[in-house]
Amino acid sequence: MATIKGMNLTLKIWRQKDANSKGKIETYKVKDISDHMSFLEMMDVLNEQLISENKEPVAFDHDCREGICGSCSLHINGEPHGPDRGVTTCQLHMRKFNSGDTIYIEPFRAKAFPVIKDLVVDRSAFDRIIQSGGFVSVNTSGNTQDANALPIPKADADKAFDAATCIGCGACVASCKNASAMLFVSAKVSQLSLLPQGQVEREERVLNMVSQMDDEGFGNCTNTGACEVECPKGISLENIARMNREFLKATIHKEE
Amino acid sequence: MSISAILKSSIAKKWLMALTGLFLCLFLVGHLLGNLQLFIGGWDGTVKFNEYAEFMSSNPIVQTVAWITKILIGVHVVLALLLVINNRSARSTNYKYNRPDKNAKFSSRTMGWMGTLLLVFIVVHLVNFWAPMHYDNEFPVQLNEAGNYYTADGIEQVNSYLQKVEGKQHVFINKVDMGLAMRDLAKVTKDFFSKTENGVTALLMMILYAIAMLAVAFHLSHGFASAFQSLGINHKKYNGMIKLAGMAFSFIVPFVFAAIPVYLYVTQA
Repeated sequence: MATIKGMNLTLKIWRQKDANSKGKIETYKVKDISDHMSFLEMMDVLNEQLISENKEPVAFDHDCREGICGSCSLHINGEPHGPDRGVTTCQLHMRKFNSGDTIYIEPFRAKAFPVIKDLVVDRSAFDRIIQSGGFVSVNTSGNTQDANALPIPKADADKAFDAATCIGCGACVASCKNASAMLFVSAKVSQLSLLPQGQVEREERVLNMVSQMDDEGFGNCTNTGACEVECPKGISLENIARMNREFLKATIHKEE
Repeated sequence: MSISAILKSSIAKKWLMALTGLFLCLFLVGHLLGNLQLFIGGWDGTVKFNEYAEFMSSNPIVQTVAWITKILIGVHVVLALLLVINNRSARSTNYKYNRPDKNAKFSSRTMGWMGTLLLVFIVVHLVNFWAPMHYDNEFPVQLNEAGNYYTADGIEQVNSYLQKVEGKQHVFINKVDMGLAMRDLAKVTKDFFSKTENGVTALLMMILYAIAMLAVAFHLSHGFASAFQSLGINHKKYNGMIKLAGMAFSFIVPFVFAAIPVYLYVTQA
């Protein structure tokens, strides 16, 4: 086993008591951080330290710590989910940093993602966008249909699956200079519009989801591609183009 | 969807941005092809360019397209402002520490700034050439070595003289009005970038025009390909081609545009 390197770090962390308070950056120091730790484990060490000093621990979102739930967030050194590519913050290892580093840790910033406390933001705008997409019609008469009975081209199935890997963490919004949610929304639109099961509500879905996205106060897309770079699941910009097409088709075709 | 709902939508605004942007790309090509005639030296070049300028400022189809271009520039600018206001408000609190250079290109992050620079340049450019050509009744007219004036249709009028009719310069022979005089935009343009005619202003203008074309290059290097993405054209087979066309376009067009004032400044005394 590799030797465990003890890292000493300076952390500049956004502290905010609650949604209505004015927050500010506070400086903390942590010692002997193992390079095997994940970023969130390092945050745990800091919180243990704060608790032992009778101070309020730093609030941050986390759940599975396996990179699949989309709970963890954090804007680390100017990038959502930190400097590594294709990983969430929980999967970001401390070996990506060096002893003596100063690390800035801020919440994801967007008007549609208001800060609840410290580094925790309210991402329920994403839930409302999903809800606005509505249901997928399923045939419930008679026997359950075999999933394989519907032939789907391999390329379409792959693309739908790639889009479906979006965990809704919001890194796309956090990285976008316009705080646009188009990568997220386009992944959700694409996933169903590519599959036969998604055809029935195809037009309503894209119109409603885009309209909800705009109502939530997310910005517009400038095609900078920052979202695609920072996305822990590698969701492609191709999805945004697809959403633009779907929206165009639905707008022209739908009567009401 | 109702028309007002469509116009409110973020994606519809992006289509309009893309469509107006691509139209303006076409305009650039046309404008550049016409301007290439400034590279032709001597009397021949002057005549060719002036005939072209008179055609462009009198042909009804060209004039219609010119007004459409001006309106679409306006639409492009107003939409950009609406988008920027919307985008700014989408992030009310900024990051204390942000590294946008880690995930997006400079050209894509500065579309608004380069666009603003371009708008200022367009106004300066119109004030320099378009406004005097259209509104200055003392605008220089084409006069050859033999001392003859030309009418706007390009015909040399022997033993002619100038006289104003309703404020406009007309060519006369023996008190007979032969028509509007051909204006000498070629000379005006060449003098504008000439050291002897315009002094240090010529140098400053050459630099300003070159900087403006650099802004065009940055604006196009993102805008051209980005317009296709906004319109939903993103396809494995064609992406490479669009990207390459965008790169070539954003390099060649502003480069040749900028070469004109540089050429005129360097080659003239």
